[in-house]
Amino acid sequence: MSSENPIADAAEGVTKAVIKVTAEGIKQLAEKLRERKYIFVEDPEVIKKASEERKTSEWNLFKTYVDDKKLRILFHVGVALRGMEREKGRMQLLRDRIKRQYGTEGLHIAELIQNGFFNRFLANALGRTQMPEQLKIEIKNLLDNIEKDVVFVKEGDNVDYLTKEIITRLHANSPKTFIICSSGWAVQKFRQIEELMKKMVHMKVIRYDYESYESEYTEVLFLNKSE
Amino acid sequence: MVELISLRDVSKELKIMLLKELGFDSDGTFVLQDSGEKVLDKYINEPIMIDNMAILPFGAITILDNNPLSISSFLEEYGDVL
Repeated sequence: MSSENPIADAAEGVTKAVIKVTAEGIKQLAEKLRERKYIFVEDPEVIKKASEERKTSEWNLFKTYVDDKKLRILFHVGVALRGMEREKGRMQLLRDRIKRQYGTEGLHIAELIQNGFFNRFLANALGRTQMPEQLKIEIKNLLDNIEKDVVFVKEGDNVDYLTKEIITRLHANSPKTFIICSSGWAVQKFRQIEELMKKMVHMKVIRYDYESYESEYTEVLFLNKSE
Repeated sequence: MVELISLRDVSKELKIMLLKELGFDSDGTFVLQDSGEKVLDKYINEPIMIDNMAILPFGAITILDNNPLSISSFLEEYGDVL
């Protein structure tokens, strides 16, 4: 049996006698690593996915407009969360880590990416901006003010209370764009809030226009300040 | 071209031998410095378990917990290494 690649040999279930022989090969493997020919990793899928994701057009678009390293990392982990919909345990572990490193704000930015809300925002903003610099500023404003200008509706939210809070925020901060989004079971609550907000627009209680998008599991309402 | 070598089915003994060869150590659960202190993942500040490590040869030899936050942070710092 070959001992050129002791790790591979071990993976094939070789005996301890062979592992003893492979001790020689460990030096070669370590050398290959130092020469940057190998990366050793428990589950190669994690690095493969992260690496492939850096070649997508979604990433290329994002990095064109966002220079901040922290935001770029949050983009990548948001995409990683998207791929964990069926692995709740792993998803929660990653969410906890994002929150520890980047706070609630960081987690909300990752969620914005995970649920595709950021892509919706881009589509919405592209319709309102003409110059790339303008779009860059709009994106920066959104991500810098995510706690003020974005609401993630939750299943347990009180519709009247949250609607009043949104109106208060709109009057107090007067953002160019305000985003209300929801996913999963929270969609029912979202629709009630959406209806109330649209009434507020028609009654001119708030000087905003609205635009809404929905997909199978997510809904989002954009309130764009009237010109 | 960098090649990814999976450690998933590699025995603990071989992983520890590899770590020692690279100037690290292990108590069988965590990756340790040669001095015996636990190595912390530089991006999440958590000890690294020998059963979920990534050993990357960029910068100095970097050992990370193999999770998307650490790996994405690494790729953002060092670029597309694959």
